[in-house]
Amino acid sequence: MSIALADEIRIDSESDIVVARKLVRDTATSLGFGLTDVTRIVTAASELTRNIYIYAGSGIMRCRPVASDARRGVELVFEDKGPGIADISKAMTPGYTTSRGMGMGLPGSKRLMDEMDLKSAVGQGTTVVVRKWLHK
Amino acid sequence: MKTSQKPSNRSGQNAAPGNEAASAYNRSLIEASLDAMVTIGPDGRITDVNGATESVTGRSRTELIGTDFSGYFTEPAKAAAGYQRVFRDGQVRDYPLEIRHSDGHVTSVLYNASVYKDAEGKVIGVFAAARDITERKEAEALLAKASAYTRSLIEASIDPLVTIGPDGKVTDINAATEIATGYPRSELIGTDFAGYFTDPAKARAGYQQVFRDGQVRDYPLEMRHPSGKVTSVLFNASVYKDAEGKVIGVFAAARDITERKESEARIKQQANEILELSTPVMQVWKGVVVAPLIGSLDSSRTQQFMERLLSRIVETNSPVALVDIMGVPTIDTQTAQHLIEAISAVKLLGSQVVLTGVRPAIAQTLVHLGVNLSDISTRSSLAAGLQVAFTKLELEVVKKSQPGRAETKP
Repeated sequence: MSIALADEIRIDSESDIVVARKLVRDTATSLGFGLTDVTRIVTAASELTRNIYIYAGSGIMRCRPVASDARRGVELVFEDKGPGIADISKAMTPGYTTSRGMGMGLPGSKRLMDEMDLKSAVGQGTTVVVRKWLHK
Repeated sequence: MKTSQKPSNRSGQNAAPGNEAASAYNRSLIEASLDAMVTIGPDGRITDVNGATESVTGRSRTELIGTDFSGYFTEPAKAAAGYQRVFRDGQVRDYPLEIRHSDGHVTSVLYNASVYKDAEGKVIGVFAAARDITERKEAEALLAKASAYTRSLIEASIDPLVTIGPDGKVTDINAATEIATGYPRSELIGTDFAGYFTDPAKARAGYQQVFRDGQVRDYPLEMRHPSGKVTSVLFNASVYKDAEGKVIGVFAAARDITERKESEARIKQQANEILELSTPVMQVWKGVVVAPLIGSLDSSRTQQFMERLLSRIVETNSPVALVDIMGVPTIDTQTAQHLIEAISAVKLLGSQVVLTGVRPAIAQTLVHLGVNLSDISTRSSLAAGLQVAFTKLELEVVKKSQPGRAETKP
C-alpha cells in the first residue's frame, strides 16, 4: 500500500460506507493510532460518508496520511456535488437536522477529530476535510 | 557606402584621397567581420580572405590565396559543388559545410554566397561568407539529448500517457498506451481518443472539460482492449501550451485501478454477505433473550433485527432482552439511533433491554458524538447483563458444590 497517494472511495450506496470505514480503519491503524482514536476516526468517517449518501446521493471520500511540522496524522476529504448546506452554523448545531437523523453527525464528527474544515455552496456541493493528529 | 564627401585630413596628400579612404574603410569592415569571408575565382581558387578565415582555417592569408577552396573542408566535393552552384545560380544560402583547421579540429558553418561582377557586369568570382554554427549545433545536440531523455521517461512510465489535439484526435502516446489499448502507435495516432473507451461520450466530455477548465483529476473511464478486456482507469489531465502560451492540446495520464476496483468489489460483496447473515435472537433462560449483533448496522439490517427481536420477545414472553454490541466495530449516530429505536419498541412491549458489550472505545466515541444513552441500561459485558436480567427476574445462580449454604439458612 502506497503511503503518499490518497486512496479514494466512491460513495454511491450504503455498502460503500462500509468500504470507506474499512479503508479508514486500515489507514489509521497502520499510522499507529490507538484503538480509541481509530474508533473515533472511523466513526467520523462513517458519519460524513453517510451524510454524502443521505444528502447528496453520491460523492467521494479520500483518505491519506499527512505530515505537518513534527506531527503526523490522517486526513479525510469528503466531497459531493449535492444540494449543499444553506446554513453551516445551523448544521453545526447539535440536534439540528433536515433529515430524520439525530442531528449530531457534523458537530459530533468535529468533536471526534482534531480539525474540521467545511465548505459548501447551495446547489454546488459540500466538501468536508477532517484531520486527526497522532499524539506525542 | 559613399564616403567621398567625408573630408579626410590624414590622407589629404594622396591624389585620390576619397577612393583610397573608402576602400580602406570597406576593407576594415570585412576584416572586422566575425564571419569567415572568402572570394573564389572561376577556377575554384581562393583570391582573397579576411582575418576570420585565417583563424578558422589556421592558415595565413598568403598560404590560402591561390589554393583550392574546396581543400579546406571535410567534404571537398560538396564544397566544390557549392561554389559551382553559386556560379550557376548567382547565389546560395545556408549551405552547410565543415571547415577543417590545420590542427585538425572541425568547425560547422553555413555559407551564404553570391557572385560579384566587374564594372562591365561580367562575373569575376564568388564572394562567400561562412557563419560558425558550432555552438548552435551543440545546443541543438544538447536539446536533442534532453528531449530523448524526457522521451525515455515518458516511455518508461507504467501509466498510459496520451496527448490529444483540440479535434479530439490522439497526437502522441507512450508504450504503456499501446499495451493498454492493444494497438500500435502507428494505428493510434491520428484516431479519435474517445473511440478506445467503453463510454466514448464520457471520454469526449472528459477531454472537453480539460480544454475548458485547464485540467481534470481522477476522471474515471474504462479502456477497451481489442481482446474484450476492459481496464478501469482514472485520468489526470491538463492542457499544454506552446511558447506563446496558446493551448495546443491535452496531456493525459491514466492510472490502472482494476485491482483496486476488484478489491473494492470484493469488500462490497463481503459486506453484503455479512448483511445477509441472519441476526439470531436466542432464548438463554426462561424470560431472557440474547441478540448478539455482529458487523455493521445499516438501515435494512436494523429493520430485520428489530422485527426478529420483537417477535422473539413476544414468542418467549421475555421481560428482558440483552442486546450485545461487542461485535459492532463502529457505532455512528445512525447506528445509535437505530439501537435506541429498537430499545424503545421493546419498552412498548413492556420488556427491558440491557445493552451489553459496550467497549471503552465505543463508549468514549458515543460521548464525543453527543449520543445520549442515559435512559438505557448498559453493561460492559454480556455476563454482567445476564446478572441484571437474573436480578430483574428475581433469580439467583447458586453453586451446587456449596451444600452448606442452604443448611446455614434456618
